[in-house]
Amino acid sequence: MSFINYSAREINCKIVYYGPGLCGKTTNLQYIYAKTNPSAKGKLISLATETERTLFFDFLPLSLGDIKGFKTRFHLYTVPGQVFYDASRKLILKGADGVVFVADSQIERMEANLESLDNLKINLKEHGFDLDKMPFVIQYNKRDLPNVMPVAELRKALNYRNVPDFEAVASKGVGVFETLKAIAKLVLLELKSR
Amino acid sequence: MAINKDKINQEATKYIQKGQFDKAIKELQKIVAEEPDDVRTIQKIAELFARMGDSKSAIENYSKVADVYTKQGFFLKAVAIYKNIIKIDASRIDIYEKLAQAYSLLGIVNEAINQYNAIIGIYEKNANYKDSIPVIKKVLELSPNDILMRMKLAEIYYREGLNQEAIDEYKNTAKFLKENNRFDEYIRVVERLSTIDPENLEYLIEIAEIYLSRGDFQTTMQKLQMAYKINPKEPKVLSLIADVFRKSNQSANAVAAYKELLNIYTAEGKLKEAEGIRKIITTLTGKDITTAPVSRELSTRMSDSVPSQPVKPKEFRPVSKEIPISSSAPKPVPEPSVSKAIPIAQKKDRQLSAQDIPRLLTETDVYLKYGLKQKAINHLKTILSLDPENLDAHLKFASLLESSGENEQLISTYMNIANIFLKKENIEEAKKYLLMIIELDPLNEAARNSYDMLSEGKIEEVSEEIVELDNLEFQENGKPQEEKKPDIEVEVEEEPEEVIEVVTESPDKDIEVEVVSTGSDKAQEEVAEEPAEDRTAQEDDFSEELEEAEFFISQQLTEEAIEIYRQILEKNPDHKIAKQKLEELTGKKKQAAESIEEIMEKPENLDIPIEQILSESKKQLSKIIDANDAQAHYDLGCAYKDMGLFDEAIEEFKISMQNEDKEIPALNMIALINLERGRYTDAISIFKKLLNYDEITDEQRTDFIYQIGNAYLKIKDKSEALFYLNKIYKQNPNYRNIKQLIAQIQSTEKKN
Repeated sequence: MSFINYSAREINCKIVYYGPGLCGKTTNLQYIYAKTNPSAKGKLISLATETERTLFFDFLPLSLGDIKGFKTRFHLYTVPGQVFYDASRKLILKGADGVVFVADSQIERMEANLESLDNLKINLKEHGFDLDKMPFVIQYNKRDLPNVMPVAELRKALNYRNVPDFEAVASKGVGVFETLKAIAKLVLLELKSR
Repeated sequence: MAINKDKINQEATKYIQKGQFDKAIKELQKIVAEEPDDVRTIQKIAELFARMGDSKSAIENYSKVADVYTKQGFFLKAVAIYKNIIKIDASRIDIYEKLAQAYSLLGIVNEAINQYNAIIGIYEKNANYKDSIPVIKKVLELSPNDILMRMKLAEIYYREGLNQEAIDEYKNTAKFLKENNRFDEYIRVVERLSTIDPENLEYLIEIAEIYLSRGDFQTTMQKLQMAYKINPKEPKVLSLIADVFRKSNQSANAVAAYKELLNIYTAEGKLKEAEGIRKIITTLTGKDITTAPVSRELSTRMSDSVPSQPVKPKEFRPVSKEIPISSSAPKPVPEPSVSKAIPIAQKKDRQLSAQDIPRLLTETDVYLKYGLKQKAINHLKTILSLDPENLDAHLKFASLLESSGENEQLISTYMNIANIFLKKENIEEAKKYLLMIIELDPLNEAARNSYDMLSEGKIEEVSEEIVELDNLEFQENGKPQEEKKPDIEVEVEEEPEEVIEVVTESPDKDIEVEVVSTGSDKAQEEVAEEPAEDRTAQEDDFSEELEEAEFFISQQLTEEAIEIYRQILEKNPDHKIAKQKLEELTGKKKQAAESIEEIMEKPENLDIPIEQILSESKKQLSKIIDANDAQAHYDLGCAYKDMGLFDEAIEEFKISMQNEDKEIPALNMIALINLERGRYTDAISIFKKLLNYDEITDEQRTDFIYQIGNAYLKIKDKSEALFYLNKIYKQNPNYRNIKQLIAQIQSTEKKN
């Protein structure tokens, strides 16, 4: 849940990038970090294993303008995708204001996508959240690879809520900011409605 | 039209009192329109913008004021204004620069440096190291002896690929440290230089000399070993090596080094230096070695040492081919026994013979296949020490040198190949390699003359000349003739075909000779009589395969090793070693597979506990985030707080507080965490502490009071809660849910 720091006149919102292992969550954050104005971003903290796999989380604080004199700071997180880091994923999801589900478009990763989506629902439920009721955006990543599923099929399998979804090639930045803008917008709308 | 300044000021004051800052600004702007240099009014406008939270306009107006003060030479006043701007926006590099300039003009150098440091910090935070270079240079102009800053500059140059600049900067730093007798730091800088510029012997020699002067022979030798690898023929390095051996009472090794040095001086025609070394050797050994020039000795020895097949064991009596350099101080070797140094690639302590060459060549191919270039080179050197005319080895060596562009060594190798072809009377091939030398080094007279003579048919003369060159090339692999005969005689009673393993147990003991296999029928019969489990000869029928398998294991290529053991067992199902090794390997594999299966069967085992991940992460964080990066630690604190990892969050906020700009926000976060985890009295005391800070804004003060009131309410101290909440209510009755809270307290009091 977003945290309003009255003394700093700041609103902190938490967005979590979720998805199966190697789907490109970290790549999303890396691209955002690389292309964001230095004054608007903090350090990208990546806790990775020796093989560059996310060990705990990636974290990127971003300032995205003002709302009624309050600076809005978005804390972007990724979760580790590998199955055995479920405890980490649960912890990172705590207090999330919005979730971006990064799906791997490759045919052979479809099962991993579905498992990860189920895992997301379960973990959110443990925190008392309902995925169907919170700001949620889907990104179909790795669209540049040859063995990808058609978007229509991905949509059918993953986007039952008909939330905003985007095709992406995160390594090249395609769809990265569109995804971020969409989730930020949903989170802010939710914030206003409260 | 003239304006009434006083009246406008009065109007503005009224608006300010009513909190109508925008109207006050409009009034004050009327004055500025008439008097653009009225800095006091502009400053007032800036302050009002700041109170309204319009940072941009506030900074704009403050900047105007500061610029006017600077123009008028009121630098101290300008400094005060710039500081106001920094308070609003701590990321303004231009303002830090102006501040630094103002401090410089005021002669307050330390403060000027602090401002530049702030800029450097911003650049570092954004990983914009290149832009920090001119700023660091400014700091160094103000403080030329700031060694840490100099090293920072050098590191940034290096990081940005400006290697020469990095080297120059480190050199300057080293020079300064040396001049000021700061030797420990000096060594560190020179060590760094040697990693940035690894091919430069100068630094390694310099460090070695320092360590030697300190009597640290082991470290000296380590450095010299590195230098020797770069250039084994550098006289200074060899001289130092000899010096270390002498000082550590290893005269035999010292003599070996001096002899190498003597060869180099002789080859280079430095007769005076050679004579000096010869005298030293004579003093150390008590033997006069002035009778023949070393090159001639080598020449004779090299041509004699070329083995003919089959090789008699005695001819392969180990002879030192290298100067014994090891990281640990070598043990003394009895004079004048041969050195115990063995070729680098040799496994275990076993001496090698010519019969090992095919295996070594095979292993070389394997090393090359897996890109282990250095290992391949070491093997080739070993082969060439055993058989200096091994064409295969020379060709492989040449091919390696071609790919790495080491032309000097390549020319020598081509010369060796040409020589071998010449001996084989293959003139065309010899010419081909001579031509290749000329292509690489058009001024190489030896190759050119040889080529010309070969073309004219003067084979014999050319042959001699090439042999001499060849000998010079291989001088490090050889020993003078008289040394070839060992002082410790190897007693070999077996047939010449037998393969002998020579094991040097200890340098001051006799060389132990062990017969490990035999090709003779007699020996075969003897072996047959032995119990099956002791049939080492039978085992060694597969020695090549076994060694190859060992190699694969060492490279973690288990599958390949297993395959070899299986092949051995197919030929000899009773092969004890192969059987045992295969069981070990397959057992390990099975064990590993089972454990993975076990884990996979139990989903709960898949989940790595958060404590483990946290502890792993903390180790990494210290590498990722600089301890001085207050903002990053603050952000990380926020991240941990988001996750409910409160202790970790507090730890990070405390680190960030080391930067005074972060003290108030970090304390505030710690207090909020205490509220969140129900530690209300702790929270209250921190908020109260915060109220004592002069730097807090009105908004912060209001928030802290609100939080105190709220915390008192949580611990049911209603009177205290009411006291604090009322303070806010009087100032702003619409502040957050203040009305509700007060009403809540009052209603419960009425009920009571």
